Amino acid sequence: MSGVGPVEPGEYTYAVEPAARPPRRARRGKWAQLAVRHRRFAIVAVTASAVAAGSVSLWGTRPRPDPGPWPAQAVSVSYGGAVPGAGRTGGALRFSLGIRVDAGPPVTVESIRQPSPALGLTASPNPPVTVKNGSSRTVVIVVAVRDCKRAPRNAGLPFLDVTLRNARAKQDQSFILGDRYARDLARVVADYCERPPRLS
Amino acid sequence: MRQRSLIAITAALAAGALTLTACGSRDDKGGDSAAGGDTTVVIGVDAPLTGDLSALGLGIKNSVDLAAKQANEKKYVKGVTFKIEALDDQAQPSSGQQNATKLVADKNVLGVVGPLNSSVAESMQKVFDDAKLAQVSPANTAPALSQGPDWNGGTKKRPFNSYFRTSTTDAIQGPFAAQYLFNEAKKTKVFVIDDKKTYGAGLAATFKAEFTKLGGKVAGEDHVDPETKDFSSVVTKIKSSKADVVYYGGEYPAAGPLSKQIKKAGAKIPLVGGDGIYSADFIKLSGKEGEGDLATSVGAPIETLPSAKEFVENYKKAGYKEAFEAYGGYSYDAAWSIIEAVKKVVDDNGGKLPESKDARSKVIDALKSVSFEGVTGKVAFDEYGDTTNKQLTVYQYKGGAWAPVKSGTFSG
Repeated sequence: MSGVGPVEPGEYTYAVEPAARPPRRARRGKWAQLAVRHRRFAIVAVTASAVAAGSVSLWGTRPRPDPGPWPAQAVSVSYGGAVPGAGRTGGALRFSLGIRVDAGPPVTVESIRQPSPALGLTASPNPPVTVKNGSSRTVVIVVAVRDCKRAPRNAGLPFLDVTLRNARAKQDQSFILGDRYARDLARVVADYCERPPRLS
Repeated sequence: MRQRSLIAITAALAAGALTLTACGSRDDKGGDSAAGGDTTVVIGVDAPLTGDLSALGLGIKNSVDLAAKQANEKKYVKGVTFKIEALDDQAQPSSGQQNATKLVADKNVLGVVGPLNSSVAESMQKVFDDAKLAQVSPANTAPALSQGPDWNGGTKKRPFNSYFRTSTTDAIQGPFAAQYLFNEAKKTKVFVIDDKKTYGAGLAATFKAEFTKLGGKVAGEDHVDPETKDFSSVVTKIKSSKADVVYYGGEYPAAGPLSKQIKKAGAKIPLVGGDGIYSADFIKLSGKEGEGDLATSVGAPIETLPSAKEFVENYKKAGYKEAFEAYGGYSYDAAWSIIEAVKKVVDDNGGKLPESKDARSKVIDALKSVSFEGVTGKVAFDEYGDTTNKQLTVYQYKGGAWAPVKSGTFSG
């Protein structure tokens, strides 16, 4: 073949009207052989499946409410200083910890820990503690020296590990409480672990 | 039929020509996607756009570009179109200083985002401050830049009124790594290495101080030349020191090969560094030997910040060739803080931008009080120009990528 005809037919390409459609032939496939009631059943089943698939798809793509921020992005934790009266006696620092939620759904503080194996921590009220958006709770924490040999001396940035949970997620976050907490903790460790031995 | 075809083809050609014309005019305006107004405000960018650290630098440049484009699309500041002017400092202080001088000379520049390196920032700060031109770094972590040379001696004093940053500092990053390694990873003997640069030496010093305060021992110390790629002499020292971890103050171009060589020499101990090694390029350079290495980086993991997800999508849509890397979100926020400051200056001046010199100092004043929800969380600056959002994360190289293992918030 060497000749190239027109890319598409022009207005006078056809000399005669197109031939009339041939009569439809009767269906001979398996579909035609099925009994009428079977065909109806099949149609109903296919339609039902399509409706179900559509519903699932719509359900999956429905607009969902914003679950709010992750808990660590909604919470602020602050060192409130040594609790008056209780002080830093007996190798323990007792202090208040402010927990505030500023966004999203309520946040539950599930646990409060500190990472050094040479120190112990207790909290009152004992977690879980739930804080609502726009409000604060104060927890009194006692960090006590357990092992002077391994207790950190003069740590610059000691922190607390806090497990937080809200409708969005459960999250572990460290809160570095800053210089005042570092100084108060270092003083307690030094007072307790570096005191002169008692004379009997 | 032929006539209809001709009309359709003509229409299609005309539409195509109009589209091409529109693209051309956008390019002429330096990539602005939509004009915001008649006055052009330039946001300068200084970062290493070539060389070993260009992956981070290009991520900074693209992220600032994205912020400017979005401000223009939204017509965020009435009557103002933002453009960016990006200069390459090649991670060299002398180039950074030349760039600072060049940016100061352009009266349309009302704020600068950058640089990446603290050592480069040192050379730029005075130039910007003399010209009362605001500088917001998305990546500098050396504490002295904002808190003065005696920051660790208890006397914090802001040296330059024009300097701000959206990243947190090594005063937190080094100690946080030390706490994690000593208390949680149970590492007790560290070999400390740095590259003798402002960032690397400073970071290593803050790490070492905290690690020893906690009771950890320093098994050895050394410095490396970041330009070299053969670390055999220091690797021998590390191996014989019996250290159970290596801390490296420096950046990924040296840290990657160093990690690889440590493990190949038979010392199966992790290398740990700061945000300077938190890059996809570290993964490439350290290879499979780097699996298990750790890095701290500024900010919370991106998946915990809905605003960051939006940034990632927009960045992808914008079609930049390079990844936004470790400082993309911080660069976007740094640029947006300048945009917010410009907006305040314009609003306070009856909807018009004041004269250049006056506008520059007013932008600095406005930056002191900006506060908005950015990509990385709430963006605001304290009395030193440091970010008030002090979050950081420990990442581990796992399964061929960095994965977050622990996040912290500084609330002191």
